Amino acid sequence: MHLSVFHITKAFISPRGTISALADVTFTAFQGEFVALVGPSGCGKSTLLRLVAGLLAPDSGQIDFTGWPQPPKRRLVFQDHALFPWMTVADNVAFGLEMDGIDRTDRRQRAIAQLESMGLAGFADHYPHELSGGMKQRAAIARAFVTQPDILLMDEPLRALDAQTRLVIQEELLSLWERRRPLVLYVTHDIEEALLLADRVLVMSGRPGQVRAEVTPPLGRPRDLTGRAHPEIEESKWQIWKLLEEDVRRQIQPQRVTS
Amino acid sequence: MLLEKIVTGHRNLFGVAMITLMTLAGCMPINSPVAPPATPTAALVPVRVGTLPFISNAILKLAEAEGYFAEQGLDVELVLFRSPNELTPLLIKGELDAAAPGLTAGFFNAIAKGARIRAALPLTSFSPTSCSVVSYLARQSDAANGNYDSFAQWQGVNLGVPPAGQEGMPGYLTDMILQQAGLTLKDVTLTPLDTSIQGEALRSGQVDLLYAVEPLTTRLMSDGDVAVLTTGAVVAPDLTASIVAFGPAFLDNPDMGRRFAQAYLKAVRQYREGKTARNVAIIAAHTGLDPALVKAACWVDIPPEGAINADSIMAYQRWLQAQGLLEQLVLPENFIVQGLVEEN
Amino acid sequence: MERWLPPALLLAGLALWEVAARAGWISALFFPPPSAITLTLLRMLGSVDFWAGLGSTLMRLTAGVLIGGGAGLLLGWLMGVSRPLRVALAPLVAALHPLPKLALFPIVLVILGIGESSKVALVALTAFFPMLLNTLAGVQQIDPTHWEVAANYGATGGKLLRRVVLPGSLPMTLTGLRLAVNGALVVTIAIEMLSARQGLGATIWLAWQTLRTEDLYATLVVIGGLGLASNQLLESATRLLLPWKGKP
Ligand SMILES: Nc1ncnc2c1ncn2[C@@H]1O[C@H](COP(=O)(O)OP(=O)(O)OP(=O)(O)O)[C@@H](O)[C@H]1O
Ligand SMILES: [Mg+2]
Repeated sequence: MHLSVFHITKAFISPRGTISALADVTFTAFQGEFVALVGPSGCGKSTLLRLVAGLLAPDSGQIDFTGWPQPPKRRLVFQDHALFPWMTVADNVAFGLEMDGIDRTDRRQRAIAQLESMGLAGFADHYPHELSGGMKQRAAIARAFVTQPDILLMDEPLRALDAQTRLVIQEELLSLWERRRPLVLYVTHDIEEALLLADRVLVMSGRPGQVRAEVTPPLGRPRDLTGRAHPEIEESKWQIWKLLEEDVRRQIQPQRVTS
Repeated sequence: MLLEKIVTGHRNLFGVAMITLMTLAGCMPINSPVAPPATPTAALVPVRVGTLPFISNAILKLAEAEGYFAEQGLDVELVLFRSPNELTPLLIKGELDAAAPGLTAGFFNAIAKGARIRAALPLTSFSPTSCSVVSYLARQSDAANGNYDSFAQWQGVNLGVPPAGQEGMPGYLTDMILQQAGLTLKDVTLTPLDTSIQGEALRSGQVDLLYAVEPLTTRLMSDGDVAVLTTGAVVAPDLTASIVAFGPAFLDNPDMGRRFAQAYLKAVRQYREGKTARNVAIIAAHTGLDPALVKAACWVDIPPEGAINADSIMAYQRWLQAQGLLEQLVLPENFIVQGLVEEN
Repeated sequence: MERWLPPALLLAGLALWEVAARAGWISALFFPPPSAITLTLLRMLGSVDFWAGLGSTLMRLTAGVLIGGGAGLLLGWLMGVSRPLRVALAPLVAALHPLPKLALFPIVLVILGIGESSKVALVALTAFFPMLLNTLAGVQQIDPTHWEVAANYGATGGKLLRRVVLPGSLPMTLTGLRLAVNGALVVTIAIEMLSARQGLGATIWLAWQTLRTEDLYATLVVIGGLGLASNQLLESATRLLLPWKGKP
């Protein structure tokens, strides 16, 4: 069972001009794999996730899901939590279950359990506006996880978290993933995070987006993420950094490029 | 005339009420003041008269068009209104010097509260010898079946009347008919109807009977499917059903009032010559009606000598009082201009 | 201090009015003193006819808002979610919305007859458009990401409507309801002035017929009270229905 993305292109056309978001993206990811995507801002990572989720259609190329009872359940954790402001946290988390037709008591039970595992037990009946940014992000992850998808698509889910919480959630994330081993596509700006979590890191280049290289961190599983330094990934970090340098430098101030 | 006014009176009542309020508050004069004529006619006294686009009110247009007002030294500006409702307040306020407001309970209540307006000259007057501008109509088929051979058969009917008709002249006349059969207004349903749908409502059976005012009767009769059961003139012979009233300026200056009356009565004499080409043309122009219809319709009877039948109006007032619409009766010397026509 | 300013100003204004009317500076016929209006109002509140009239007005208002507002709500949702429907109906709605509904009254009368149904129909027509337009706007301003979430989690049909479209557009819908009720109240009164035997509008007409201006003002006070009460009610409903619109 695998996902194959094959020569995908995607452009956005508006009266203000055409933006080519993705140009000829090709990669394969297997069931049970944790794949991270890194790349400069605007290189089309979110677009790629939307294409895989089926929310957008590619201009050309193909996305195949081979071996799954068609079509596999894909759930997306959006870049900006995208919780419904009119539902309580528990209802938000249970939303996917409700759409799957699971009855009220069952889905509430599952949602509460999920929230507990993400440290949000006391907030089930609050509304999203009463939560901090990090709590919202966690609730959004819970909403996707609880539906037990075949493919989990995550768009910078830990962006809004402080370093400590981030570590805890990363651990939690991995253990959740280990339990069912869905295929995960994980977008992040944090190279270290990508290396610590993923089996493979796909490095994308700037506009229009392309997969430039693939880096495999020298880590086995299960992994211990607790606060310790990870000297074994320094080499990979440097490798990815070099790959991204061009693109990243292009985006920061020109004076610093010349200095 | 009053009746006609009530019929068409409701159309833009909302606007009317607003304008009335604004005018009363002094925010908006109904018209910029008439500029004094630069020509020798500057000697004429400016006078403002409110009119309505009804056959009855055409008498005011006739007096103006034939120059009868000018002969009396009055420079009359006719101000056309759509509805009679604002006439009484504007007369009280002195914005109008003369007009034919409805003989509503409000007219008498205002005088009782000290408003300086008075009935001056008769307009619509019922007389047994002339045609009637007010008729009670039924569907021809029902009438032929003998459904309405006697007034006693009116028990339980649904009668279409002009909006707010129950509180005015239509209610009064209807009550008089019902009394003849030992019935009261409680024995029938009065349904207020917009002018535009009165004929349709009768034909389609939404009402059984219709209180109709010219030229509607003529219009409906020409199709042959309605029948006249009785008329206002039969029910209330000698009733002065509408009047021309004066505002404070004419009351303070009786000479001006008298000159207005002179011109008015001269117009009445011409009007009473009948449906001459000239009269038809003036009325058609004033009302906007088809001249053929104007010619076919019943014209209101306007008494030539300018006498208001005070007794008939007192009887009407007593009815208004019995309906709870009038605080007190207003005696003729208090609601009719004294010494206006006797002296000429 | 600030809280007492509006009522103090109101009282001062009323006192001035009272004095002016009693001293004859303004026409007591058209501007009867507030004390006389108050007495009339109290007498009105004690009469059976008044309550019957108020009942008629409220019945027409409620029926009109329920029917017209309900239809507007439904069509607003449908047009919000269906682009073809929106494209097809938008010009029609834009053209019909500003028509003065009262001008259509005779036509409605011919179609529906002279009973209650024609009055309610016109009130409903008045309530329909603000409800439709605000609900439609409410659906359209739902965050695009929320549509994506709904699509991604497989929301369709009734579930989509109930869990996303309805609550997402509810704030605007409630604004629409408020506008609908206010407009419907105005039209209800106006229609009653034109053609009703009973109701607050009929009372106003009669007040003009008899030039009993205290009756007029007393009725206007009642109508003002109705407007105030309905807005208060809708505000409470808003607080109750939109718990997520917490104070920031
Ligand atoms: N709906 C859209 N309409 C028009 N252009 C779009 C749209 N969505 C994305 N784009 C454009 O496509 C390009 C890729 O956007 P995308 O959001 O996929 O980038 P990203 O890699 O996720 O960036 P970031 O890391 O900042 O989130 C950008 O240039 C963006 O302007
Ligand atoms: Mg993105």
